[in-house]
Amino acid sequence: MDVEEATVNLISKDGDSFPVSIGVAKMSELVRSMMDEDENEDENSSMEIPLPNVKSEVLQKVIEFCQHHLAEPMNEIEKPLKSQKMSDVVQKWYADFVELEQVLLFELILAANYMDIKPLLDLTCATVASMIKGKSPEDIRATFNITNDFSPEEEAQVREENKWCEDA
Amino acid sequence: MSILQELPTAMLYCIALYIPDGVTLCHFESTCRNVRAALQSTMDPWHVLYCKRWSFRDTGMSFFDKQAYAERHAKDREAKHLCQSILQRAATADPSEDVKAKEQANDKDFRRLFAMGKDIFDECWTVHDQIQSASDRERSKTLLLHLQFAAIITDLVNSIHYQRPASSDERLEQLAILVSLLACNDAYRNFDQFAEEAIRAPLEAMAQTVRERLTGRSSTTAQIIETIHQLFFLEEGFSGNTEDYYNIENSFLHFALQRKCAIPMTLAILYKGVARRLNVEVHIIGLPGQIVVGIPALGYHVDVFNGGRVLHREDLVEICNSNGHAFHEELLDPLSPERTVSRIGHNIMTCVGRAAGNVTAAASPSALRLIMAISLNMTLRDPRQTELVFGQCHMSLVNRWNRLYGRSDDEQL
Repeated sequence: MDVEEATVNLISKDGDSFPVSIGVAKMSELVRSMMDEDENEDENSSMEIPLPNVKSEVLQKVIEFCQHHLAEPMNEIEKPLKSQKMSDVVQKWYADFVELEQVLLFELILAANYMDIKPLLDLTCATVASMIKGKSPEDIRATFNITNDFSPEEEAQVREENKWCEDA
Repeated sequence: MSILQELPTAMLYCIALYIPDGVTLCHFESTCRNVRAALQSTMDPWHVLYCKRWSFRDTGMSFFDKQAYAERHAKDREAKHLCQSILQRAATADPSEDVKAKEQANDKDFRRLFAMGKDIFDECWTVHDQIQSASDRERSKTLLLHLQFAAIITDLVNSIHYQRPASSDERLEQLAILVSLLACNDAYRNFDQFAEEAIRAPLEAMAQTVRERLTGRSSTTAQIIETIHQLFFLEEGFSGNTEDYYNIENSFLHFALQRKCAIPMTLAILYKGVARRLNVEVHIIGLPGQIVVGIPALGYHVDVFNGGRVLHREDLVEICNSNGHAFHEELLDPLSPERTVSRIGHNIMTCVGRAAGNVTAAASPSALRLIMAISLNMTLRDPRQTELVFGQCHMSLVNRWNRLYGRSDDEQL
């Protein structure tokens, strides 16, 4: 066993502390830059990084992702998606990973963006795109509980602009 | 309220980049104000979709926007409908139907398809692929090959008349490749693939060989030309086709690359193609009666038809005189891409003219191609006549098509 496996404590919004390896922590560009700033402070005994925007439940998932990514890096996802099935575009573990409640999925997007973890942002955004694929505007609104906030005039304008894609 | 609806622009942008098709992207944009505003602030997702769908190499800078996507999408769809209706008319041979009306309808659809350029062929082939009956498939294939051929000419004329930004040498090669596509057989459904495999790749391979031989040396133009010379004329053995000079195929780059022999114009374009890839400037010079290449940096000319013989001034004078012309300096001005292609058209026409008395040639499946080749030359000479020429080309297509499905009606009896 590594005697000196240095760790960093990530502190969630709820105040929970998550000890992670430096490698895992540094997958987040935000954490990396915070660690670099702190580099000169005493020994890096038990560095604490506060992440006040990330709830424990979400941070747990973020860490799970980063840990796996170190062991098996995720394939880059081709833009635009070439298949609607996530298992066709990334390894199975990642496809299973994003089988989540919608709320958690969006919280992961926000966390990935805030912590600046590109592969996680890519994976979660691609997953949302795969859920949108082939749906009408009404279906998309229903799926994601979106309120149609267009005025009737705006709606007419949108429809006019997008007329070209409607009739088969 | 939904979290998606409140996502910051950056994340909506990231989602949009993964959306796999334009219709879905439009639908996504139509859901709410926030999403719409986010997507309207960028053309990247549209550019990505455009490049993917129509096989453009994505160079990292977006220039296809939603409107460009929508226009191309509409064009594809129209092509598909036209294609379907033409094929359907052919399939439903109802004797009570007015033949004249049917022909007129076909005529209109053809004309429209014809004007659309070669971009639409992927879509037309998709229609073809969905046809179940074998005889219908055969007919649709013939139709598509003819349309495709007509579309190449349209494209060729367009690229001459509306100059696209590209170096003049690149343009010349592109135009010559388009002309070569006229002889393209049905093994290639994808022109770009054909051009790449049959023409650009062999030229690049020769240039690469030269590069490798010169590696490690700071080579002068003279050394590069010497190495090209060695490879092109002596090792690859490119030379003039003296035995079958008036074969129309001598004007097409891929035949020349396969057979290593052709007429001077085609050899000159290939030679220039190799030199261009090695950044050596080479001019195509149209002396009366013979094309030669000029190498301005070295001050001499090369006779590509005769094994790369180096031509000095007195040789050039001699060539002119032997063809009944006095020599003057302007004759050594390089031909523009347009004039070069016009000369290719002239060469093709000459070949057709020589074959005119030959009944077998006229009746061969390539007869239509030959008619088109003549028209191409007319078009190049007088752009104002483009409409007329296209009309003629397209009539010959229609006649051919009508004959085709007429014959099929007989078979059904």
